[in-house]
Amino acid sequence: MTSSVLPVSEPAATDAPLLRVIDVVKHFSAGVGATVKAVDGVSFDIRPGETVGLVGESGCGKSTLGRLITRLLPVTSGQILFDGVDLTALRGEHLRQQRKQLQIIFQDPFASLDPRMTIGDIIGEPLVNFGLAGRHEKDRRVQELLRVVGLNPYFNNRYPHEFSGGQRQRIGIARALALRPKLIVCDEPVSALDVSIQAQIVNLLEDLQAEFHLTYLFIAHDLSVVRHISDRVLVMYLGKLVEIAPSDVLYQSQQHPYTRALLSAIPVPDPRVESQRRLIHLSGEIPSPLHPPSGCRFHPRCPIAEAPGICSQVEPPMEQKAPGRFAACHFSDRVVTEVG
Amino acid sequence: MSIATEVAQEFDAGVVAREQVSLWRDGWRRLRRNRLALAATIFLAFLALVCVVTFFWTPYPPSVFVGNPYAGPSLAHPFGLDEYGRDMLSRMMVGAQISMAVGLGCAVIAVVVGVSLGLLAGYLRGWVDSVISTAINIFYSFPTILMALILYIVIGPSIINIMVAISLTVWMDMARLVRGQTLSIREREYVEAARASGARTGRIMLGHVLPNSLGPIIVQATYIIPSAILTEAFLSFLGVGIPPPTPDWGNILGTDGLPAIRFAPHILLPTAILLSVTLLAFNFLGDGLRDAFDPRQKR
Repeated sequence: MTSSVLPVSEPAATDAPLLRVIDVVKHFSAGVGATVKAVDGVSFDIRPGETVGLVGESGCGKSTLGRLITRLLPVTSGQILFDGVDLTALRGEHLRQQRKQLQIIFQDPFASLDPRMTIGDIIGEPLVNFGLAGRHEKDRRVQELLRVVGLNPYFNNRYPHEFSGGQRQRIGIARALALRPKLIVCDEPVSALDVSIQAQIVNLLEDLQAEFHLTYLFIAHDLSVVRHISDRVLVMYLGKLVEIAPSDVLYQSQQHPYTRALLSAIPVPDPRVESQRRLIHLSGEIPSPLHPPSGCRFHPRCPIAEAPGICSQVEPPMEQKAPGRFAACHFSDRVVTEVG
Repeated sequence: MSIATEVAQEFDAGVVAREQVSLWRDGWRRLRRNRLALAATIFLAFLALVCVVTFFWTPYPPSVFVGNPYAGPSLAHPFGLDEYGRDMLSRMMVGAQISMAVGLGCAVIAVVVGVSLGLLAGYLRGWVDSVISTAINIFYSFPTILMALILYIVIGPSIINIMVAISLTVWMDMARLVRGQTLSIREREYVEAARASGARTGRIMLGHVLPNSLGPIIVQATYIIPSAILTEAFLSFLGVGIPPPTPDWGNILGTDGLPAIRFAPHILLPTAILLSVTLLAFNFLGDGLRDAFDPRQKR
């Protein structure tokens, strides 16, 4: 319906990854001699047209990873290849040009829209930044984008405070779409929203993906939302990936005890099933990324860890455990039988 | 729109949004409720009107002998005459023009300098911030009057020079304020969003950071005006300000009023009162604006 205004990007002919994240590390300095290892050696691929979910507890580094991929933060080391171009090597104008391909939708629909700007200026800003539209053309494109995200096109003269959370998130989505990006990093786009609104936004994202051949990295802490939208899921714990699997099989069986514990926390809507459900309680808090545990970072909280032993001494590598399934656990074969 | 839906929408949009966005309208509403600030605004508007009128008309030429020296108030000369027989009312009017010009001029210079340096320091950080912050601290370490005096003597007497000299002593507060605002605003998500959508640094500073710190900047500028007026009056009082015979509030007080205070207090008193009331009015207006723009205050 909008192809005249928003021509979709060419669907990729091959299955070559659109995004390759290779051993990316982000350390923040926290005073003299202390570093927060927010992201500590993360590697994964995203193929064109795919939706990859990224889940983990608060503070595990998933939002930092999203900001590294969109180059809102510089990496400490590692490579981020987007369409074969290493984003980490780009500076200045080259980086700015690359941003057209790569957009982000933010978590907080109140903080991510400039309160002093009209909706039209907010959505049109990316177009103005790249000189893609004059004033007249900008208005037309903005109205088209508003229509695409399900808002009244004549809202363009209003200010963000006149809208509800769900409407504001739609505005954020329209802004991300304005440059016709290939990849959109969705940084917890629905976690600030009411449950009924969440479904609308998730459905909108899915419709837009089909219409514009978008690829998503969908960051969330809500596993049921991720299950609904994702083709594959990355599970992150304390700055590292612990498991990668297609979402349909991940929710059936897990190769990492942390994933299993996370999934056990999803409530079931049926009260009879819910009362039978076994919760795996993890003891303790997520450790400080200032001083991550030795060996496997999960071992102090792991129900099957051999500590002291291999788990507290050797960091488990990310290994393929089954076709398309990767996990970083010394005892992934025991997860299903012994955890929960 | 009915009140009910308006309230509902505001409620929807949440507290954060409501504070920030209806700021101008809210601020004006709160300012009007503040009686002192309202009175100050009316007084300053009247003073501004007088300054405009002075361009076209004064009762007498301000620097010409028109009657008996030291003559007290009369119908022809409501504020009397000074030691050279010049009409005090005319001199006060011209003095008001100069004081307001210096006050506003200094505020403009301080805003331009302070806002630019504050934005650069706060947004670029690193060595730019170090240089600007060090400059701010160095300027702070000089006594204001002494520095204005030295600068003024070095660059010579004229109304533009006096503005520059005074501005150089008052820009630091503004720069520090804007730097702090910028440091906070640059971390907001809408600034990240702007960067993600390809905005250049200049655009982020002028299009996002500056508009979102306008409230505090306006309040700060309102405080700069009276301090500039006072400094200028003080320099003229000391005899190193506006050169005579051009009248200004400072040299009316110092050169004409003070020597005659025992036998002709009508020269000094009205101008002294006018100066005090003007300074008070600007400070009240500043306080009113500060309260009106304070997001924590919801009245």
